[in-house]
Amino acid sequence: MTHPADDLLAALSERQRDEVVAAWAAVEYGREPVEEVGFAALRDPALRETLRDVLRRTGRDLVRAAPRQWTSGYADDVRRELVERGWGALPEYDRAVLTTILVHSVAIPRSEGHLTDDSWASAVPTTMAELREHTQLARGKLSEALQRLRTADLIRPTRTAGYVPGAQFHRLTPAARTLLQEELVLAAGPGSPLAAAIRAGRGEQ
Amino acid sequence: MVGAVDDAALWAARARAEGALALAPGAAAPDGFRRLVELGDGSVAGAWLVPVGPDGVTPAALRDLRLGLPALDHRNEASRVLAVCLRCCWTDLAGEPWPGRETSVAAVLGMLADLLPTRLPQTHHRFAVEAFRQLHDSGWLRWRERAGTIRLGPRVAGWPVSELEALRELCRTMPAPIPASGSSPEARHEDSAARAVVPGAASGEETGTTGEGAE
Repeated sequence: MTHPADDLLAALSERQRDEVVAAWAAVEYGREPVEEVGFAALRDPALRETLRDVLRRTGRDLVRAAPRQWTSGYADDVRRELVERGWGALPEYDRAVLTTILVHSVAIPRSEGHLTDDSWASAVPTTMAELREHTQLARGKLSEALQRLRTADLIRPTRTAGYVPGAQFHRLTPAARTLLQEELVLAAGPGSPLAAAIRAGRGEQ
Repeated sequence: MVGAVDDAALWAARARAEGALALAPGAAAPDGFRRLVELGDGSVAGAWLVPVGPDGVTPAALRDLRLGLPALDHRNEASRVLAVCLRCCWTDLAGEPWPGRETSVAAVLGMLADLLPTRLPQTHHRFAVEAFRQLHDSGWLRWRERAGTIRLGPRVAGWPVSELEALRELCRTMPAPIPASGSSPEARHEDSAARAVVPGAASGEETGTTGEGAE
C-alpha cells in the first residue's frame, strides 16, 4: 500500500517527514484552520511548499484561511474535474438548503453593508422559518438535509436555533471563493449592475 | 479539462468528497487506497477503496496534535447506536469486525430498548434514525432505509487493531441480539454475511475511531 506522495516524503529527513505528515493531518483532518505557529511544516516556507506538493498529489491544495492560519481544500483543476464528472456533488435538496443559508446569512447582509470582509463567517443566522418558506421543502426533508449539512460541517447551528455557514467554507481556494461569490450575486440579484458586470467579465474570457 | 488531472489525485479527491468508494470486483486500486474485497455466496461481491493518509496517519492524530475532533450531532446517541450495530453484526468476536453479517433495524431498536428500557420506543426510533443517517454518511454503517437493514461500513475495517480488544470487551458486556421477527436476518442462525478477504490489511490503522463525519 503506497501513497501518491511517498517519493516526496522519502526525500525528506525523518524529522522533516514527521513535521510534514503532522501538518498534513492537521489541515486535512482538522475541523478548523490551524495556526502556523504550531507546525514547523507551516512556518517554514520550504517545508510548506513540500506540504503543498504532498497535498497536490491527492487533489488538494494548501489554503490560507487568515493571516498565519492554514487549512486545505480541493485544488482548482481537480474541483473543476469533479464538477464536470458529477463526483461528490451534494443532493439537490441539500444544495437548495445550503444556497438559502448562504443567501440569507452572507449575500443579503453583505449587500446591506453588514458584512464587510469577504469571509463566509456570518453573525446573521438563517432561521427555520426562512428555510421553510424559501426552500418549500416538507419538514422531514428539510430536517434530513440540515442534518447532512451539519454532519459535513457545511453549516453550523447558532444558539438562536438558526444556521450560518460552517467551517468547510474556510477550505475554499481564492478562485473557488470568487466563483461562489459571483454565483451568489447571479442567484440573488440577476438584474443588478454587479451581475451584469460578472456576466460581461465571463463573456470576455 | 478531462485528462489534464492526474488519475490518482482525482480518485483521492473523489474519495475525500464521497467517502470510501464502492467499485466493481477486479477494478484496480490507485495509489493511496486500501482495497477491501467483500465476498458474498463464496464469490467476490464487490470492492471498496478506503483512502489512506501519508505514512498511514489517521484522524486519531488530531488527539496528539491537541486539535478539535469533528463534532457529531448527539454524539453519545451515535456512539451507542454504532456499538449496538457492532454487537449485532460482528458474529465472530475472535476475528475482525468487518464485514460481519447483516442485521435489521428492528433488531438494533430491540437492543437499544433493552439497554435503555425507560425510554419510549418512538424516542429510540428518532435518535436511532438520526444516528443511522450520520453513521451511514460517514461510512461506519451501510443503512438500507427501505429494506430496514444495517451492515457495517468499510470504515469499520480500518479500526486500529490495538483498539479491537476493547471493542470485543464492549460487545461481550452487551446482551445478545434479540431475534426481531421470523423473517428477519436475526432469526437466521447461520452467518449469512460474507467473510472478508482483506489482502495486506491485517494491521489496518487507516481510519479514526471517533465516528467523525466525512467531509
